[in-house]
Amino acid sequence: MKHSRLRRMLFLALCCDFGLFAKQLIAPAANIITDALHIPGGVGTAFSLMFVVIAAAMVPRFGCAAIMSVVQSLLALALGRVGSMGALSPIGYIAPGICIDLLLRITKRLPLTDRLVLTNSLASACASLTANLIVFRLTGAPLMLYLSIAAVSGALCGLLGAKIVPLVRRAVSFDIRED
Amino acid sequence: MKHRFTTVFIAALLALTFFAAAWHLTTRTETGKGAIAVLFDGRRIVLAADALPHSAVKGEIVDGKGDVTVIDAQGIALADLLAAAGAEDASAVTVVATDEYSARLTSSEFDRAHIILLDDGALQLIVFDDPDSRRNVRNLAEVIAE
Repeated sequence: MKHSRLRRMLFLALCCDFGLFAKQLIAPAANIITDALHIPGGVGTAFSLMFVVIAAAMVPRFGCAAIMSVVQSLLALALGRVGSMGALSPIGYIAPGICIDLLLRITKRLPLTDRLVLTNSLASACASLTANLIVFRLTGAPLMLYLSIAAVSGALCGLLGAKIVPLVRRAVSFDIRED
Repeated sequence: MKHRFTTVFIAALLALTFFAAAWHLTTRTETGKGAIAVLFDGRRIVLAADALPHSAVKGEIVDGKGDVTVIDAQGIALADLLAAAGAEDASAVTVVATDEYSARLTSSEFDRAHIILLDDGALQLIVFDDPDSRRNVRNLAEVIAE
């Protein structure tokens, strides 16, 4: 295996792990926001998706995020970290993964910051919508707040991701469009 | 201006979030800690958990990971709660938490369902022998009977 390909695979694996465990890391802070707003979540997912978005932006190959989300869902099942979605949790990982791939493809001509903000925001809303369809079944005002909180926290995490990408690029030599 | 799209996009999302938060927080009904609202037949009855008949609730529940939690607490049988609210004829209930998380139970499951009092004063639904541990709703606030 070529040295660069191995390095790329290791980077993707690392981002998979970061994405999987990031949610637990910020859960206490996220719970303060969601408890105050009386909604069942939406903040932590945005942060965990940021790592998949960063990886998919660094390795510009269509399907990269979807494959990462499949790996994440298998890891989550193996470790029993299925959350409230239970056996349906792979859908909760794979749907936003596909969404990230499509959005990065659609926004190919936009500057990096705009791409990551838009992609992370809509992928986060997609993840929340999937969780709502499978578990929460919210309607009306709570659903609107739940989705908008997911989208806004996704956008802010996308902004953070856009700051991280150039730093990571210095460490690993992948091709990525300049902002 | 650099990143004009990002700025406008985030500002629009923040505006939408403020609107949704205002809508949700001003239209939701607060039940209060240690109280349960029962909605049945167009009526809304708020009952204090302390005023309802308590009994020892003991058993085991299994979560999605297969982890077993031993329950040994004071609680209220769901059937007693419905009887106190005059909703004993309900065929199904939807139990709603303060964060709008909800679970649905049918009348055949009422005898296995209890509401326990947690140390912090919050209430939790416990359904014994339930393959779906997601229905053990924490911070219970409302019971909608049908």
